[in-house]
Amino acid sequence: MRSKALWLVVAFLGVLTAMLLPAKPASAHPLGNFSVNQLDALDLYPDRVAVTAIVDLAELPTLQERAGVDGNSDGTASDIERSAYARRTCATLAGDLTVRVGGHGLRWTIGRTTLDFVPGAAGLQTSRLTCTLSAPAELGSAATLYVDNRFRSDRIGWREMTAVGHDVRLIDSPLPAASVSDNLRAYPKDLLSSPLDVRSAHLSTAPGPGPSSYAAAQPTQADSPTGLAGWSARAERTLEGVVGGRHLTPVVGVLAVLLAIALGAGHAALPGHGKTLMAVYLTGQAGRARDALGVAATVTLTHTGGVLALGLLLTTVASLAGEQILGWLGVISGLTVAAVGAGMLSGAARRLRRRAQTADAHDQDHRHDHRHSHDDHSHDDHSRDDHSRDDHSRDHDHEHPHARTRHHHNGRNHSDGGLSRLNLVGMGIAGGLVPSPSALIILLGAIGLGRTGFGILLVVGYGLGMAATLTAAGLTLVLLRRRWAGRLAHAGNRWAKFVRLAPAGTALLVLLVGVGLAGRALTAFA
Amino acid sequence: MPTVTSAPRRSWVGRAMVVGVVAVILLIGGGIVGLRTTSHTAPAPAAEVTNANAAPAAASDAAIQRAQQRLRQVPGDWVTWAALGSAYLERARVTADPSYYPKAEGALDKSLKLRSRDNAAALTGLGALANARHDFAGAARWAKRALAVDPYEAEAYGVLTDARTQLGDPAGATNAVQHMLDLRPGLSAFTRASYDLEQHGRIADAQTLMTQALQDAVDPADIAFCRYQLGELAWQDGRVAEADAHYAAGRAADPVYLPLREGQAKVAAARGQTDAALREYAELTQVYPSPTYFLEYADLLRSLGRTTEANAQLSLAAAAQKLFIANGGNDDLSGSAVALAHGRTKDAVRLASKEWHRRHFADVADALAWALHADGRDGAALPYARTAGALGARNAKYAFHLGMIELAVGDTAAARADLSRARYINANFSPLDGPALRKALVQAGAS
Repeated sequence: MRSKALWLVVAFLGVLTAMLLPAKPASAHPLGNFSVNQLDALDLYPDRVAVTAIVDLAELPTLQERAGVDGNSDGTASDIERSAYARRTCATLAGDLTVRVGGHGLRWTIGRTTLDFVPGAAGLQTSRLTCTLSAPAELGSAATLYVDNRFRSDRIGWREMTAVGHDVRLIDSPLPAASVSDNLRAYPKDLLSSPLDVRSAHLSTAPGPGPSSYAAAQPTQADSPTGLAGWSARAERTLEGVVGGRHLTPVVGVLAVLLAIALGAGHAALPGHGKTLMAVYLTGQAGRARDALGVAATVTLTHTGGVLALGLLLTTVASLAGEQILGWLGVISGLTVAAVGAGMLSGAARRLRRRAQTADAHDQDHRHDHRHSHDDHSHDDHSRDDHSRDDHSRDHDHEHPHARTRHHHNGRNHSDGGLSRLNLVGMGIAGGLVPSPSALIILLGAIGLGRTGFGILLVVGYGLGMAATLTAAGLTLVLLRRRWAGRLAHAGNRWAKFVRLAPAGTALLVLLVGVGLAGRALTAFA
Repeated sequence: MPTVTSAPRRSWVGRAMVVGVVAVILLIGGGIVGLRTTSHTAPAPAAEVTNANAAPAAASDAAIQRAQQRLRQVPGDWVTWAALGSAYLERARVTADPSYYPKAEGALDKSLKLRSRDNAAALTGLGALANARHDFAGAARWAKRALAVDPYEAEAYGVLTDARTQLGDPAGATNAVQHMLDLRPGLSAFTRASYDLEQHGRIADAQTLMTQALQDAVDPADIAFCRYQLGELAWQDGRVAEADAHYAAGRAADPVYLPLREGQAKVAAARGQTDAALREYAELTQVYPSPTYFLEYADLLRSLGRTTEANAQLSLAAAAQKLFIANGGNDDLSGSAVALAHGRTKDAVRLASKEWHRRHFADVADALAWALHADGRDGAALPYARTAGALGARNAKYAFHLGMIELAVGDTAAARADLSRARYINANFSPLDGPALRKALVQAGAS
């Protein structure tokens, strides 16, 4: 008992020491005593480019430069010596700072130059060199800029660039407008960011005023969406916190699984998921409850399996980049959807064609078809068939089974029925193929913490939640469609044409959505 | 019936082709038009624009970025926090950029805060950090705590090896490095075992192990590191051409690994290419102004009679040392060397004995002996000079210092033997002391 207490004290002292160790004099240069830190602030005008270059030299480089500053070696740097040094060094800097506008290098005119000394650590000084450069440039029309700073490129230090347009618009600028280090005065101490090392950048500009867009959003300023997305983002963070948390009691575990199920359900309800596709698909096809369940089950199985496989792959093969794989999966998913859409489209076109050829002489055939289809169909469909047959004209009577059982022609019902099932499975796979990033993160986090089993449990919970939402959505659609179909049937001939064309329309929609998804995934690479 | 079945099959193929072609065309169209809908995937971290010198450090860079991204998503992942801390440390070692030390410490502390029990990785990382800051006793404590948690943590044995070597516990260091070799015979175990052998004067064995380490190295930074160590082994053994070849090969692998420049500067000075040597030192001290490099540069300048420039470098060395102390570091060994170079012999003795109280490492014994000699206390210096070489290290500097002290106390025969040994091991060991060695040999009566 006593030894344990003693150990605790020792451990506490150890941690305390570790925490006190970095307690350095506040005056020490935050980036080390021999860093040469640079900021190039670009201002773009329609007729010129202006650069304010700031160089923050830490204690030792300042001391090393001292001989260069103190021209007459009298031990002090007079104002004249300082400005001469500043002018000289800025000339060197201007020679090493390349800005090309549309391939043409700019020729700098050196404006104001200053050198200031700032007290640093151990009674030494740091120095701050400021150079203003400007050069005429044609930014009155759309242009591309290339900035490259090679000044003292071998020195260790922070390297930052900013760019602001004045009556010049920056498009997807890789450079922020404001310095994150307050012009090399306060360097961020974030543990999760490496010292900035921006040495070159490509910019594109357009004439005219307007907001410049900055492409790289800071991770700390992560969007805080509202509504459902916001709720699920918060819940995701909570779950990740639980997975990474120190204590994992049974109650917390059960709550975490419940949260995972809710998150999965919420995730499936977010736009851009397989749900949308399924909705479109089921309205185009003769949706049945079984189909809805089938698609939902496929989505869930694919998603759960995909997350598990990818999670294992990412933890065993260190060189794999998660984003890259997600991107390619997105492309494959989009292509699958597009293929299903194309298949539906060609099927719909063929049926339309065939319908045009259909004559009463085929009645015998059709009766044969119906028998076949009845074998295949669930009880609901029988009742619906009966309903329409009872209440409607012969035309409708013909139309309905035709629209619904369109795969069952000329004895090819079996292969076409297979294709339909293939479509359903393809749709499900496409919907579940791209693992939800949050499920993947939860799994990776759990694996990293040695809680692999718990992670898999959460992912399965995630899949169950998704299945619940998707099934609910699918069933609702089937239900709606059934009512809707009945109403339409009542409405008469005017709708008949629409109903006939609907499969082709939905097929086209599925195809376009698929292409869109694949295209979006592809552009993410660019 | 056969015709019925063949017709659909043909249309199947045709349909598939049409579908494929249409899909590809549409896809390309979609890609070109660029359906730039905002992605609903996790927010990507800010793309750091460009990184011109990324190539050599790419491996540790990638590891750091992966860990950073992961921790933004899973802030409670103490394993990754510890890994990030170690990656920062590695980066500090490769780039010689000390601004990574506070980051490393922050990350390791965070890991330990998230999980104080069974966190061998964080304890090991803190040990490595303590070694980097020359707090060797602290490093040994961290390593032992890590090993108490996980006796199979090979890296902790590595930290323990380094700490014990520097603390002057050669038997303990050998023991620890043997554990490390048993647990994970890889690059870091080989390099440490090689250094351990070198301390015992077994240069050939050390070289064999280092060559093995080089064969295991894949990362350019690791190759450069191994080449530098091999170059140093050859250099200390007086084989200048071989050392030069290793330094050059190292620079070809990773041009930014700084110690290689120091190696090449030494080689150039030894070959009488003073301009090249001076240029190399000037660049080296600009990029990495450490007291050691300033002192070597000053020695070279002084040996050429350029006293003013040498003094400028010495004052820079003093400033660098002052800053190191102001930043909370304690390295009285190099403080003693700086004081000695400035002719402040009393200070040099005081600092060296302070360091000697802290750790009984051969380098410290040698420095203390040499400071005492400079202060005219050769009688007191002699036992320390003997201690420095007690392990059997083949070190020209130790032998030279011992011989000079023996000469001063009047033991000419011993002096002659030790000075000859110094010349035999490496006549080029110092641009300033080399000529002094030749003069002393004449004085001691050697041919």
